[in-house]
Amino acid sequence: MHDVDRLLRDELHRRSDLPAPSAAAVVTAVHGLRRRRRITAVAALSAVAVLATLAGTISALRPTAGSVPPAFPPSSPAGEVSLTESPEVWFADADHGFALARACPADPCQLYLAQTEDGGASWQRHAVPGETMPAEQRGPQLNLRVLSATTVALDSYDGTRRRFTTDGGRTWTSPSMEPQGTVAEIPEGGLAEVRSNTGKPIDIVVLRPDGSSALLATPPPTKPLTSMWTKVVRGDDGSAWVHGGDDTKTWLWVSRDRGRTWRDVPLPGDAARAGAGQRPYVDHGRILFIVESSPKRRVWRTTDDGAHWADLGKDLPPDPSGDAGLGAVVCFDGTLLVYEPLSGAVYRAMPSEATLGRVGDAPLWDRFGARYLRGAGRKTFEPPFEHSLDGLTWTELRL
Amino acid sequence: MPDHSFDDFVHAALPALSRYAYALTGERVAGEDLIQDTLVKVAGAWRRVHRDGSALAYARTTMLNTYLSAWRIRRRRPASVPLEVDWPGPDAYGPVDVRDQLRRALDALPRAQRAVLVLGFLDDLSDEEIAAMLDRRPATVRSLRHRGLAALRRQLDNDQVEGGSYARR
Repeated sequence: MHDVDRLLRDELHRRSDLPAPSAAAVVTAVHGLRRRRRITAVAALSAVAVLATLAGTISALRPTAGSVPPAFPPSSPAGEVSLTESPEVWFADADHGFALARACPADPCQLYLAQTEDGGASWQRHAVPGETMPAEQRGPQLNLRVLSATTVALDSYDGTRRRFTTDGGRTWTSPSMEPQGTVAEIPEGGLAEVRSNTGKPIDIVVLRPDGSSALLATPPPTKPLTSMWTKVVRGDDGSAWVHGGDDTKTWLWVSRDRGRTWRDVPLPGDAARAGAGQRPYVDHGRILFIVESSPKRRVWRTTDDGAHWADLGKDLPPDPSGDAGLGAVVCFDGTLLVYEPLSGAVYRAMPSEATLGRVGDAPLWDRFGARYLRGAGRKTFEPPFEHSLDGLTWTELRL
Repeated sequence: MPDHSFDDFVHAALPALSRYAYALTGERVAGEDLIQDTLVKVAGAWRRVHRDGSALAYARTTMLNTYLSAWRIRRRRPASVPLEVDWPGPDAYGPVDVRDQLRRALDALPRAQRAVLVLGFLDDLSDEEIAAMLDRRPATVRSLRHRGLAALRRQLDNDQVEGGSYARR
């Protein structure tokens, strides 16, 4: 008869006395495994999404589709108002913000404009007259254009109609979207959009504070131009930015006198090539970034309208295939945050710092006017949504 | 400043975690796999784990759960071959090594029984402590240990008889 207890104890201690593996190797392996599993999960989710979309399309096309469960999420219960999918949210300042919402007690759903005056703590909802949408439609096909704390225009994608309010959505008018005459500058409280004209230079269409439109007398003085942004982006300092190009070159224009004059901003690296996909980040107005992910990862910063550029991205991990891309957001103080999707890491460069440094792996957020917005769901940018003024404390966006 | 707290934790906790992993798996490669799978899960919850201040305990429980998980059991891994299949031939040097018998018998135990034996015999944990770690009742732990030891005893005794007869062929 064996003394099993003693034999077992000896055997387990012998096993456990094996030398531990190299900690550095384990750390590397763990980070690599996490990266691979994240990529696999994203690929699987994408495949499921594609299959679901296909299934939905096929079901809708079948003559007997009526007996098949809908491919889209069910409508909200009667009376419940929820954010539209792909949230249309914008904060005019720290306290005043707007969001598009819908209620689906029946099909079609009614569109609402939700307004907050206390930094998102509470929201008032106002129906937008005449604006309905089929329950299965994900978005309202309207652009939310916030001109001030109380003034909003909702412009249809097809350019045929505008809903306009100057009292936060309590009353509405329907001015024409067609430009009437010209203006010398983008007025205080106004917005501007780029209108591309085939074979001709672009126009700048100004949305005036009274809801009417006009052409800007002095658009950027350039050759035939294709706009890469539909909006004339407004920097935090009031500057106006237009990004576009033609078959030979990509331009970035800035105006610091409300559109009376424009200056060509020299672009670094590959960003000036024709068809360059790198998006300039001009939110701050004085500190400008360009994030290149292919053919090489580089993150450029200029503080003198492009006269000098510095590469902040020397410490970013390489991505030889150039497929992974990089996410970025410019904070209100000019700090740049860059999200590296392969590792899930976030890198940061404050205005005083010369390179990006890794600061953790928190999910990145986006700027929606004067506040940050992030999706707190399981996937990136998925409900519930939260907003923040500082990126540290977050409040759920609950209508 | 970059956050290296997880990497620092790996450096500090690796000896303790590898001790468990090797005892549970009985193989170096499988043990290192178990360590990696465990740390991947810990890394995913690192901010919460780090904040709660019990990272090693969390990692140890995660390792046990990973080891016992159905997913891991289903993964194909090299298994110990039963003694009678790969016996090399008549042993000219006498009886079978008891230690080899025990290793094979231990590897043949169900995972829950093996986990209970490792926790009890390696770290001398009480039934209540083991029950808390494995999320089982103390009575279940006692039953698992009893059945595990009985199986080991039975296997060793059988092998002693069969090994002897084989050696006499």
